[in-house]
Amino acid sequence: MGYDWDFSALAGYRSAFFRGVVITLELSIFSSVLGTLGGIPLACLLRLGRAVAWPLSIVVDVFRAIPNLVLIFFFYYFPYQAILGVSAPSGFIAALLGLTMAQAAYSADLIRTALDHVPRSHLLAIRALGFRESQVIRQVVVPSVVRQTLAGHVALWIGNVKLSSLASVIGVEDSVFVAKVAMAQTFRSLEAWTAVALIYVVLVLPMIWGLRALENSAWIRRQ
Amino acid sequence: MSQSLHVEGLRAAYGKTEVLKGVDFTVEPGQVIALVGQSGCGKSTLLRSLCGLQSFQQGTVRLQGQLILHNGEPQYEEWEIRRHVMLVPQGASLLPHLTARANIRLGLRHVRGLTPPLAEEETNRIATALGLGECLDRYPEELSGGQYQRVALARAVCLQPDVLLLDEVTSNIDPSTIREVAEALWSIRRMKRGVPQILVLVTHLIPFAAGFADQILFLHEGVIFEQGAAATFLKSATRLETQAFLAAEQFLQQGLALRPCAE
Repeated sequence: MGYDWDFSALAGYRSAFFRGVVITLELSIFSSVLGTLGGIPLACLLRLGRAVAWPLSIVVDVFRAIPNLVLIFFFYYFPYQAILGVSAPSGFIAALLGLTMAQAAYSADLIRTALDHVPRSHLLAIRALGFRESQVIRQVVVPSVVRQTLAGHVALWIGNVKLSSLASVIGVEDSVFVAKVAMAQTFRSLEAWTAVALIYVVLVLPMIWGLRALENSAWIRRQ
Repeated sequence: MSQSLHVEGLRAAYGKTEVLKGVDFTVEPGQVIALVGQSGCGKSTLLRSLCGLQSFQQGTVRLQGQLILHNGEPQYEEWEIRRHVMLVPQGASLLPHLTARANIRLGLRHVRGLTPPLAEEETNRIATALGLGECLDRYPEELSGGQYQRVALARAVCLQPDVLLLDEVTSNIDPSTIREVAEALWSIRRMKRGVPQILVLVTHLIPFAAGFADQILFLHEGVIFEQGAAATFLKSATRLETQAFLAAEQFLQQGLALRPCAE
């Protein structure tokens, strides 16, 4: 009994795994940053009158309902040439689009809720001191929204690191893709997936610890 | 130039409910006014109307003879009006993510536009004047009720408004710390530099109002029902409703104090 671990077969894939990690980081960082930035104007639009907010909130909810994998397929197989007259994007860009759209929808919802919960008494007290409206936004609204949503956002960004592995299904060469190739060529499946698991543990664990520290920090609690 | 605050025919309504039905009064420079009246009689509405935080249907507000609000329409940028006629709302609401020092400094930097070193200097000056030296680096959640109110007062006073409106700064705090706030208010009155020329405060502490203010204005049924020199108002008030209100307020405060703790 016992399993004979053999990682030596994977040695030749080391640089491919390394490039895979870079792709994972690129996908998750770009989609997190772009999606979050996109969520800010969406959240503001969601607080406008019903004529804008109602149809937009349906679009946002639809994007939240569709699994990320399906979004990635959608942006990969979308007939770009026939409908938009542009050439189809690479798998990387299609995956980035899918992850970014999902992140934007989640961000918009988080930020919209936070905007509704900026304490009115703080707004009143600062306006009463003669602050301009732009200063009220900078000094009261933004700090409050950042405090309310930062932990939620970090949780979403952690999710993006893991969700970026979905890009492998459309041929993006991240570490999961490399593991699939290595498995097929060396038959060392368990070793290949263990390597991938370790990569994600190393990437994500510090983020989880960071999130916990953030949630416990006085800086976040003072709202 | 006269720094007077002049309010004429101010009417304000929430929907069909008329709260203020033609408020008229004039405050001369250097004067302190205590605005008293039952809860819900429109005192807060009046203060918010005076600084353009709430629109009203009719009437005018003049500062130094200049029209600043006409039928609820601001005649200048709203923030500009509030730099002259400033309000400390009930509950005050310091920004919770900033220390007391940073709360005070924020207005000095962004409203008065002082450089960081000057803002620091001013912060220390006002903190010393109001006895806040040792709690400047605490966060609002770490302040006592009295310290909290004094920081809120400091934050407004250091911006040097012409008129300072204080909404119930003596409410919702421990009776033992009311004295702390009252002393801070006296310090503000005695300040030589950057004094608000006019102080209007809403309070339920009638004896404090009688000792502190120059004039008492009794707001009742949407109008200034009766007014008089603060020191003698308790005796000189002639109208029945005023007397009833004053008696009830004092009974409440003294009655509670005189009640035996246990049989």
